[in-house]
Amino acid sequence: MAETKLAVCGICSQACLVDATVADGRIQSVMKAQNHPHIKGSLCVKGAAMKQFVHHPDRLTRPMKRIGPKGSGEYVPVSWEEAIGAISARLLRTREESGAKSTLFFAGHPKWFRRVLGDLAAAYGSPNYGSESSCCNRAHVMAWNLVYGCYPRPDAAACKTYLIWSNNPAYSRDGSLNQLRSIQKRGGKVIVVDPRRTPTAAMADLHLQPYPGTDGALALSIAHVLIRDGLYDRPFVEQYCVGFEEYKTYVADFSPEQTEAICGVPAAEIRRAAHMIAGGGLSIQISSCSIVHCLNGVQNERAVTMLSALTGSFDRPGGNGADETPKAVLDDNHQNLAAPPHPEDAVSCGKYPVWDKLVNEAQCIDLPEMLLTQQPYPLRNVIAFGLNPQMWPRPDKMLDALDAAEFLVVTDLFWNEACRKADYVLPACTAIERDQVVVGKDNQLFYLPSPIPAGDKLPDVEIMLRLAHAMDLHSEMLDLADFDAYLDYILRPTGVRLEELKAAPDGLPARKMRAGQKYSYERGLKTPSGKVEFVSGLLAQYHRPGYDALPRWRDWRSLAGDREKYPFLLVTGARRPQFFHSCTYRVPWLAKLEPHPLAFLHPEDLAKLGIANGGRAFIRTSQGALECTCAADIGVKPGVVHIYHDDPAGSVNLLIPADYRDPISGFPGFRSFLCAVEKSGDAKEV
Amino acid sequence: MGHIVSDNDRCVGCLACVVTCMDHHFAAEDHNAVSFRTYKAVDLSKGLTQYLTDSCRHCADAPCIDACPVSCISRDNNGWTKVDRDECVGCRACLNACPYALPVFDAEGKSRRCDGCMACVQVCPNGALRLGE
Repeated sequence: MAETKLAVCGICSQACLVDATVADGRIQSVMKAQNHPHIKGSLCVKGAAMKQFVHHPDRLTRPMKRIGPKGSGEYVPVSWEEAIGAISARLLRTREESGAKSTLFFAGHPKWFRRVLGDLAAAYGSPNYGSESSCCNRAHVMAWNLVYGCYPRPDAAACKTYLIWSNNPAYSRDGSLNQLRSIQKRGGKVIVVDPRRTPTAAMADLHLQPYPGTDGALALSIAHVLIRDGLYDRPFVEQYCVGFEEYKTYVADFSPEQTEAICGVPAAEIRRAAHMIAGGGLSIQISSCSIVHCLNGVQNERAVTMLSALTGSFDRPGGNGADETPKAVLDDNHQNLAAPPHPEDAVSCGKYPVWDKLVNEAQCIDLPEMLLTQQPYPLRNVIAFGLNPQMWPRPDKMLDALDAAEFLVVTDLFWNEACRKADYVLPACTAIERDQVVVGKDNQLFYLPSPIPAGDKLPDVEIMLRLAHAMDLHSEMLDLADFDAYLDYILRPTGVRLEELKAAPDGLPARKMRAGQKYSYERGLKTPSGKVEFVSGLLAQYHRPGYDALPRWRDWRSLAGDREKYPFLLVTGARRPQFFHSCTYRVPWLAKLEPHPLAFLHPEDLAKLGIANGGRAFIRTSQGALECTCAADIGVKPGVVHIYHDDPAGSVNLLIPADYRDPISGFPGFRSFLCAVEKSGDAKEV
Repeated sequence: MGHIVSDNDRCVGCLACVVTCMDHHFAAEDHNAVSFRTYKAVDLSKGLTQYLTDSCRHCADAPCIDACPVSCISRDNNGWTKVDRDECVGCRACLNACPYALPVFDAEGKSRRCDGCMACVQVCPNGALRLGE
């Protein structure tokens, strides 16, 4: 008998609420959650294929132990008791032999369980907890922290101008542009900066279309106009900022005319943008890594963030700031990690000193090299929850490096290429296979029991708790008995207990709210000067290339290689609606929507190269070549190639050098590299 | 006649409707499922190339009905055209007759079309789809 139950999607990071129709323990169909008081549902193309994702034949269903040589694929199923016992015994023994730091705990996607994994690493004694944030979110947060000492969120509800810098919610969130429509409806303006004309850019009041990786120069030029035309908030800058005079002198070189030549954005549009954001009420929304995947990424993003202070918008209504509305929150913020023990012993410590100061996890982008060379010291054990070699530039090197790990445990949803190298493979639940507690509208809380059985799969947190218990490791969270106790724990700030919520099918209102928060520049910010820093006190401490205290513009195009040989600019990772990193290529309904790998070019470029729309071409870089189908897109800037990443049929990350990095964050230049395009044979229909 | 109408100005080409259609008509194991909504990349006057979607218009004069050599296309009580899949011989005469090239063919070559289930209308994040004339 089919039943429809409220559930969480969780394929990407958005945790959309859906109505899942289930029968005989399987999903029959899904729809965005509808007609529930207190619940706003949403469903994108990826979520629409949820039943193929969740019931995929590649799903891991039992704990497995390797019996053949690494890479042989020879595994036998074992009980959870045996797997947890063997892994724990190994970890305790190697801690005796080589110290706790010889074990790395790694979190891939998703993010919800990271605090518990951070606790596990800390309680075990290892400073080596790291995550996919080594190339995703952290550099972006670093940039804001360098300037403001915090990570202030945009205020879409009250802003005068909403500046979306390289984000396309039409393809990366639930597909809805309604938030932007409502800003425009109340008279607010929307500016989109994106190298590609996306549906989001097309609905904006102004779209600036720079060459990829030139964001810093563009932001400095907007600042130039604001200062030159006296449009900046002088009292705010004088009272709450440091380094303005140096910054003012620096941006003097970025006239709109000079900058047009760098960015490819018409000078008139730069002036118009500056005039639109003047007067305060500017909210800047940047997706996690679009700007920072560049050799000069952190500096570029710092330059963008400074527009908030310059317009006097920071920490004021309508601008980027803290959230001042009291609300019910769960105690599950994945960035609230336990302080690592002996961070000075972390495997990456010293390579990226500003990261070391601002981020309380190890920078794992060098993991392939660290494993292969066993430098600065051998990492004997890697305990991973989600480990995808495709995350790294040159994923082939990471895959080789996994052979060098003496002992590897991979927890995942699917049997993937990392599992093949593992000593133990542990099956995790998808979001719909584990019980959930969620905060709905009006601070109403819900308990959503999983509508389908999980079989022998476990929630990641349950696996971590079992490991902690087996090793006698303790923290407030690690002492929780099981996953139910964890759900009860994260509910604590709401004043509602899990047992009573379980008994309330219509949910319960939160009894306690988190008070509204304000950063308050008047009280002092967490920067070295306590003020907003146009000139960074932290960066000034280091005399390394790229570590300028000013948000200095460096043109990556002159640093990345031979432009005559590689005349096109390569951007990887601009979202396609149907993909989320590597997660959904294996879902047939999604994989078949387009040929892939698919290279998007401007039709004029294709014509010049003699390549038909749908024709095949080799995209070549210093690292090798990848054959792609070409798609003409009039929204792509001439001279630019866009390819989505992590494709098992041909990974564009193979074309990005492993050491092509932003020196401040260690982030790879995924969105700004040089390539050539060469016509190949057989045309395929797009 | 009623059919699913797409407001192409609101559509962002996210393809949620296309896959939701598959979800509501095919089993997870059916890797060769087809969507009854078609999609095509179009150069738009607003300066980008984007997918636009479409589905059977259930035309008042429905040329596909007359074109079908085995008379397997008819109209239901609500006025929606429908294909008797068991009778369809897969000759594609309906596709040739359709002024919009909207009939789709499943893995066995049988003609399929929108049955008005409304899943696509419900899922569209931008309110681009509605039941209209």
